Amino acid sequence: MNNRLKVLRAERDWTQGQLAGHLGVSRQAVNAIETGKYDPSLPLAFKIGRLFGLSLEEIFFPDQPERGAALRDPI
Amino acid sequence: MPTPASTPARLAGRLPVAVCLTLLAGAWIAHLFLRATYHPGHPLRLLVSVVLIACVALLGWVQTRAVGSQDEFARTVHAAALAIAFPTSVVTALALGYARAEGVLTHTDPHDLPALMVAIWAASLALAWRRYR
Repeated sequence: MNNRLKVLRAERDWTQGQLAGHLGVSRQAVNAIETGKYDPSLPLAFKIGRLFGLSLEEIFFPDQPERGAALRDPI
Repeated sequence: MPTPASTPARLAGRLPVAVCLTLLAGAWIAHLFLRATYHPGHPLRLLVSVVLIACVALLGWVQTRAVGSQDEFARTVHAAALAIAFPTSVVTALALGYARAEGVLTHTDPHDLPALMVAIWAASLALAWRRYR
């Protein structure tokens, strides 16, 4: 799963440590989420969404198109 | 603006685990020395054996508390470390057991296996952290 966390953080001129403080997690956790090595739990993802005032879909998105998307949206 | 735990605070949180690991290493080395020096049943050997067992139990308790107080990411890393450490320990124990049964590595002592498992777990933890870095 990919995300826009790094961009959103940069827009607010926050360090990873400051964002971690807002979320109540470690700086390593923020770094792992930003680099896509760790997918946050739903509670943490919602916390991130609330912090930035965005929905989950506006922050997190899958790496590849969803399976079956082509069937649901035929050209 | 809230900030995450400072470096001294994080180090203080790891201090009990570090102390336990140091105690365990010291007790293990003392146990190895006494085992080679004194006959079985010697009071000193018995005392160090009890200290060694107590150190392992203390490490388990302290580590469980430490993991419980960490965030979800750290707990995931610890779970990944256990996923590496458990099969590695099983394979190591099997290999040592069969090697001894076949007359190889007969100088090894099964009593050292738990300490070896602690070392495997520590190495697995380092590997898991490296993976997520």
